[in-house]
Amino acid sequence: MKIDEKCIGCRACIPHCPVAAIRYEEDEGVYIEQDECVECGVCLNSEVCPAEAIYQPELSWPRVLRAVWSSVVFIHPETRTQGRGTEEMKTNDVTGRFKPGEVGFGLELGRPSTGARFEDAERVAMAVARHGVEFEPMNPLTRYLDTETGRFLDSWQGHPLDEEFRRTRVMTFIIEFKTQQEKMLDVLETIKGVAEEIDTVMSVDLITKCAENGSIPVKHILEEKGIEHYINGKTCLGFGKPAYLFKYE
Amino acid sequence: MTHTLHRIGDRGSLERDYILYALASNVELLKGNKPAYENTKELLTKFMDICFRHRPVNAGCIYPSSSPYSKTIAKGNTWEEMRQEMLDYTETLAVFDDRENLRKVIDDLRESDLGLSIVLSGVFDEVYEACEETGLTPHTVNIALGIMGKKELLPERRTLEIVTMCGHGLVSQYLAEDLVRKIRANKISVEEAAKRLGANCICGAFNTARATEILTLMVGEAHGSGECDG
Repeated sequence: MKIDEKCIGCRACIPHCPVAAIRYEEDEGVYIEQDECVECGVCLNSEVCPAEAIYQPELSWPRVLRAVWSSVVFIHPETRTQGRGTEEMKTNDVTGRFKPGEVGFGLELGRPSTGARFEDAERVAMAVARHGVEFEPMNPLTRYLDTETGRFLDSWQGHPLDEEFRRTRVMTFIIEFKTQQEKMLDVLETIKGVAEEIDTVMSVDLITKCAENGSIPVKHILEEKGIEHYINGKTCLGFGKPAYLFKYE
Repeated sequence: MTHTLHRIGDRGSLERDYILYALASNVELLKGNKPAYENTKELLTKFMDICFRHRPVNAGCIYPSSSPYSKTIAKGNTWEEMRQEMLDYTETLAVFDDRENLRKVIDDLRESDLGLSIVLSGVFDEVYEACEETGLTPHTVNIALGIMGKKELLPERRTLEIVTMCGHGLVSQYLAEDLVRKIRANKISVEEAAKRLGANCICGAFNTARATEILTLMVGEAHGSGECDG
């Protein structure tokens, strides 16, 4: 996003930016720090500017990735849904993406409120890849990864995945993968470790198919190991049809 | 994405915060197969018809690649206005702050048998109780294990309670803090401030009723109180 000469310097837009990219200086007036801006469009869409000085310039690679990962209305060509991740557990009643005995992880870098860069995502992906996890093939970030190592490919569709790409900042990434339930605690240890190495925060999701009676299979493991979790979360109610036929051991 | 997960708050506050979200899986379509649903727009419209029968505190529709790209209660839109713009891939959700209303919605959704995948976000105990009372067995869960990493970058606890109600990250912590200052200076009412915050949430997942409660607490608390514990 940019601000043009119509700006009257009222600074009303500054608090609207979720990543504090709009700045004011005596000699420069109000401007958007381009390295910090994630192209989420909140400043423009909030219609806060009385002079209509905020505008969306045309974005080229890799800057366009900021909008792709930060704007809610952009539809990824791969997932054909808006947003940064997949349907994940939301449609598990239809897709059978997470089966009994498996656990899914969503590692949401930059959430809440801090933003993240591709280099952070690569560091985390490389750490969890050592466990032989199965990266979600429909997740838009996975297309840039060597899924064996978690490292970014050298290029994607002719675009270099270089240093400029790695420094690109977005609102949030979601690294999605699944593994066997018996590997859950080891993977969690790795996640805790790599979280200390990144320059942002990450919110961690744990997905599991409920047992036939609706109970949560990993709950006792989390409790035994003293792993804290929020009292609230998401529950797929199982209304989806055609229903995937799960097999329980 | 998991935009209704990771909402931070005390139990009492979270017990007035439930989100119902409907989705027609497009996984088969992506595999090159026939889509699972042929009348998605109609099903999503019926889902929202049911939700609006039970007075959601916020609700919204995202219309990808359209203009306007979203309509929500917090932005001042009515269901009739949202209904006119419905598309096959419209993202639809509704927020409830009342457990009794929530049970009625679930009951109606069960009876309507739309075949859409429906996710309920909220306090697990309450969700499980609602499932039991309405004859449902929870299918799959997504559990929030908290925030890791550079937590020193996070705002204080109350501000986090506000901003985590927009999982897309579009409600700015700086706007929340700015509005608290304006409420204290009698420049805006708490209700107006909650609505102002909610207007930046594009999908309608922001619970404006709960935001009003949290803002009221923030106005009464000394600045800097409430350290974030992730």
